[in-house]
Amino acid sequence: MIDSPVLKVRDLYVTYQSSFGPVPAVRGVDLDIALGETLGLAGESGCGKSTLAMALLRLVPPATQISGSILLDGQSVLTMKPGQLRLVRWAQASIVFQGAQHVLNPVQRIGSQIDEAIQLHHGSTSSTVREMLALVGLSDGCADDYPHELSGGQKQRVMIAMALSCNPLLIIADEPTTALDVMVQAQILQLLDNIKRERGLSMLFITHDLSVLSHNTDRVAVMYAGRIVEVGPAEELLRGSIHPYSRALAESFPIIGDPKSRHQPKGLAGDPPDPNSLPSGCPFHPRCNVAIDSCKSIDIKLSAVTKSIDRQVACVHANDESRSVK
Amino acid sequence: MNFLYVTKKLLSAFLTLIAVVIFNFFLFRVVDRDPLAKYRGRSKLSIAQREIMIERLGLNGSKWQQFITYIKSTARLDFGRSFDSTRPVLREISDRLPATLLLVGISTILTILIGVYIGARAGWQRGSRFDRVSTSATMVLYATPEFFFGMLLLAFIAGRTGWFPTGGLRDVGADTSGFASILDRAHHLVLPSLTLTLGYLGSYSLIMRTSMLETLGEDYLTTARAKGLRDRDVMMRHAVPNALLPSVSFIAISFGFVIGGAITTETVFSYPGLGLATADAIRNTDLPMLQALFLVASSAVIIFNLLADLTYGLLDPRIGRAK
Ligand SMILES: Nc1ncnc2c1ncn2[C@@H]1O[C@H](COP(=O)(O)OP(=O)(O)OP(=O)(O)O)[C@@H](O)[C@H]1O
Ligand code: SF4
Ligand SMILES: [Mg+2]
Repeated sequence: MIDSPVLKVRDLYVTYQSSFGPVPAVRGVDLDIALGETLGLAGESGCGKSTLAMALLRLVPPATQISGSILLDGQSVLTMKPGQLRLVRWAQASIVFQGAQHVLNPVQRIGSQIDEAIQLHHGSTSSTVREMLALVGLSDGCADDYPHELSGGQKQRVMIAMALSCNPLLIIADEPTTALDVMVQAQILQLLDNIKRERGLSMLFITHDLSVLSHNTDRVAVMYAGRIVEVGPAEELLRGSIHPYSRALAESFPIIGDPKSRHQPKGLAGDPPDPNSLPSGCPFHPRCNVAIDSCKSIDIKLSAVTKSIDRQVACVHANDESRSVK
Repeated sequence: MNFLYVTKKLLSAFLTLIAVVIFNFFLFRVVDRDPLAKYRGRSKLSIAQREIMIERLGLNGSKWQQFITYIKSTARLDFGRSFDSTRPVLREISDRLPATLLLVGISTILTILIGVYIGARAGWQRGSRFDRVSTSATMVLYATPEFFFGMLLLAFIAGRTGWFPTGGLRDVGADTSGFASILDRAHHLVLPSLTLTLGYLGSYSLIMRTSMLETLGEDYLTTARAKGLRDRDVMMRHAVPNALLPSVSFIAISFGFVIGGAITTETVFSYPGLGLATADAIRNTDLPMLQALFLVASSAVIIFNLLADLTYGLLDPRIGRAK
């Protein structure tokens, strides 16, 4: 299925440098996204989703350590020269950032912000600002507006227009609907879905909320404490997750639009771990209700489960039929 | 920026000016019980002359009448005659205004350009060599009063090398017209404007550096980088236009200090502008001159702030662009 993936990530580690010392935010992630495929990436706040997204285009702060490999359309992002990296950014992969409120320059007109990207990569695109605005359902007039004159949903549309303007292979959508109200969320999701289908784009769709993944993703990866703990075909995984954390997350499908229900999955006590002081063994063990003694010392690697070739899980109980997980 | 915003700013500048004019009336009536005590006319005043002077200065009649007289003459730009030179104050001021405008204008433009450049670059490359060197240097500049630079320049450059004149507006006996005279005046301007520039460069660049640092973490810079812009363009097209906004206000606020700096600088270089006139007028308690100079200085601050507000309106689309 994944012959020549658009994105191929191997053993990715991202460690921020903070005044309190190194912060290992992503710890050994493998990821593949095929052409035209959408991978959903879910996990609680702070598990490293945005860090992973930013690292894909080397957008993390300069002092940050990144290791492993990232192949974007076969090109190695982590080893390329800055000049090459600038050509790859936006033309190969673009990002719809989390929190559209501040991602547009407040003192530059919308049109010129979109045009800036088009001019920069005019080799790869012949789109015009007008076409891009029309594509996301905005009027021509928006080109002359400044960001503060638009609503949150409109700004997110502008961001999507901008992300599409250079015809990338991959779009990274980092919680594209957080901070929007329910109606607008649905519209934006629909818009992304349509565009993706029309253009045959690959997408990495990041969210807190497993429920939005069911209808618009092909595969889903669940992230915990900087690692992927379970990955598999979307429907299969969402219907019957194997990893105790995925299950807790799936059971806690939050009420859309209620921010309180989003951060605290139901039936999952405690907070996500602080990357500075991760628990020993399986980092989920302090919150896991099926943990056994060895979980405190042994950290199980992500590996294929016997019952399905497409599923990978990182848990001692992964192949444990008798302890069938409810 | 729209019409309403401009009107509002113009109106508020005008009202501030009125308030200053009114304040000026009271200020100069409490400084001295007998404003004529320091009169240094050509001869001692007789009782009769005193009466005439008091009337001329508008110091007769009730306070209310005095106020009316003051407002009327101020509106006519009639500030009486200087105690010192006995020439009309307006003449004294208009003779010296160009020299000071030139000095303060050149220094302000230089300070803003250089200060904004240094501050923007230092903030953008926080922790770099450029930042460390320029920040230490601008801290020293910031902490040093401008007359100190003036004295250093005077002693070491003008005094030792003789490359620049030690003071004045032009060489005595030089041509007063033509290209040579322009060169001569420029020659006399170099050290004073350098002094004033050095005096305020520190604060302007530190202000710009701080605004730049506040901009560094903004999400739209990440967007710009993600689009594939080179670092320079991220800085020039996205960071600087945003970081300029708070700097414009700070620079406007600090303009009052520049005027103070002009007084000391002109004094150090015996540069015959309004600053030197102010120093002289203070020494001689030349009340009519002081009163007018105070108005000029306040108006300059008001006008500069108005310009800053209008610039801000041009730079920031969020200001007064109702839709
Ligand atoms: N620049 C940084 N320096 C140090 N630590 C950071 C930095 N950015 C993020 N972190 C830390 O890295 C961890 C992962 O953060 P990240 O933003 O990737 O999480 P996330 O999964 O996207 O969360 P959310 O759902 O809230 O967006 C968090 O613990 C965060 O505090
Ligand atoms: S490895 Fe142990 S602690 Fe970790 S999820 Fe599985 S059962 Fe829970
Ligand atoms: Mg995030």
